[in-house]
Amino acid sequence: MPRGGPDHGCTEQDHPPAISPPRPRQRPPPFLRAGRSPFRFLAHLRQAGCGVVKRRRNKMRKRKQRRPAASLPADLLAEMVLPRVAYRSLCRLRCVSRSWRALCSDRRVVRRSPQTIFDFFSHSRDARRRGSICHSREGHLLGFHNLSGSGRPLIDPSLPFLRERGYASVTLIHCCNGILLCSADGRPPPSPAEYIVCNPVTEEIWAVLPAPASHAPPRDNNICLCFDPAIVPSYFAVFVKPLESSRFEVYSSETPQWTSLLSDCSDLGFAGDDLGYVFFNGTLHLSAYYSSSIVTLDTKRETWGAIRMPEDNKPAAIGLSRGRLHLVCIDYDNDWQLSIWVLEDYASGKWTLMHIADFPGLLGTPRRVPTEIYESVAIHPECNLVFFTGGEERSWSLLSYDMDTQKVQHISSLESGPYLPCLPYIPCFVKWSSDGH
Amino acid sequence: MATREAGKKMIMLKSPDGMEFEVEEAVAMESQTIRKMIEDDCADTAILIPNINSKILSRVIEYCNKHVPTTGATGAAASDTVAPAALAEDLKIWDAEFIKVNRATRFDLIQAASYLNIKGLLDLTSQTTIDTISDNSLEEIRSFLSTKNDYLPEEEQTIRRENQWAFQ
Repeated sequence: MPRGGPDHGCTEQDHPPAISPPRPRQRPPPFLRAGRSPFRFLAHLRQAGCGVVKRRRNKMRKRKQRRPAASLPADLLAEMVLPRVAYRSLCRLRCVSRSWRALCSDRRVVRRSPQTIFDFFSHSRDARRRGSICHSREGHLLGFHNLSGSGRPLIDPSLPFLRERGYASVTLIHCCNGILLCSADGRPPPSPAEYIVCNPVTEEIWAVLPAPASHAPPRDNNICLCFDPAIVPSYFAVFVKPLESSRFEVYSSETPQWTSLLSDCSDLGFAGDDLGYVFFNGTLHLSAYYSSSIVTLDTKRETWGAIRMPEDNKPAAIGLSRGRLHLVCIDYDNDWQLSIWVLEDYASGKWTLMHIADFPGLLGTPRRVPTEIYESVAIHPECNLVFFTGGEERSWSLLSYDMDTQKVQHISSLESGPYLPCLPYIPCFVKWSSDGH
Repeated sequence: MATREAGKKMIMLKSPDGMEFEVEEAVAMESQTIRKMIEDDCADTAILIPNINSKILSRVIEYCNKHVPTTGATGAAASDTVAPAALAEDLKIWDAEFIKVNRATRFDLIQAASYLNIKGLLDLTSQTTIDTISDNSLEEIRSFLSTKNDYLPEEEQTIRRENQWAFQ
């Protein structure tokens, strides 16, 4: 038996060459030599037996069952195949073996994956993470749910790069397509709070915004962050609306100052105190379920519009999946029926009922438990998965519901309890350039 | 194999097991690696393709032969006569037949496509691997990748739980 544990059980000679060795050995053409592989570090994985047959350990069985050539060298696989593999498949591959987990958790592999990574920010009472400056308004520390699998979480939820830049206390307000909007608080009054727009993956602060003219503290505002790397990688806008006002304060990275924008929201009966919103195609979509509509604001032209919701007076969370607007609605008046709608035709505002289910039944109870509440927090951007937070107040959890299998899965316990935001997060590896390119 | 036609420059490709393949320059230049060699004037005599055996090399040439009229600039005349949509459909069917090979050959083709830098062939050959990973059970993926499960039972339980969503 080879010494040194299962990961060191084979040497370079163990590897059956998948193709005939060069004869005579010829140097690769100059351009191949020049373009050094970013995956050279993966050479050790070949020694770890990743993707190759371990000759000694499988000697008997292999000879009978497998042709040794039927394997790909790990570095070729990492460089040529894995960048084409969806993130979901990377997570599957992590379960294959230890060396595959190491390979598929590496950031250099993950960031090249074409599919969306989907995680959550939430809050916890975890007192072990001393030194964290990031917390909720109620003092809960910010946590990060690594939905995407094991290994080091993509983000350190204590946001150390903000501490290094001198911030003593920040509150996460929103995430939008990978960038965060935080308020820097903990400053003695009357000093107004300022907002920070940052990217936690690249650890960059994109902008520090002064407080808007209304000077209202963040908790008394509806706030939206708009950013879409698919449209303009270095453009963002922040919309702040004081609760009792129909006027928006707008800050855009193009005109780095606050301007005022009168909204149509009052005419539409907009009264939500916590905005559910989606930003895509340059348009901000605000859930205004009291008026059974989605208020739209074209951020370039500053024109308002509305999309009628399919059902009247039903609270519904809005989300974006596969490029289409979705509504996730739990009908609290009607035995908690769960309905999921998709806006099939954006231009005509035609909704299609995509899925319907009996929510207590999904949770394994015949009828709703009076002490429990649930609310939808997100829809997966590429899968038929909806995420909920809920439960009893003392056992608050993050759950996922798969529309295809009709199964609810417990993801993790949320120590924060109800009424604290659980924000879906998709990393964005865009580097900030202030000139908008 | 390619036949010599009037006015077309031919390139000789040699596999390490001694086989020689005469192909049109346009066909050979489907490979960005060979294109670079030709452009750098390194292809006066035969080009030795160091690590691709004759069996795989002949399949690669077969692929390039089929694909050169639609992608290469020299194929303009051929694509004028047939509707592009029909041609694309035709190619798709041909590709599907082409890739019906055993796993070892497919992996060899990925390596050859990678070395010779033929994007279309690389896309085609790696797609099956991608499909296998995304559609099959964990045991089937392990068997496909010829990899042994080296997790401890409790370790595997944890990692499966963490990545459960990817199997749903």
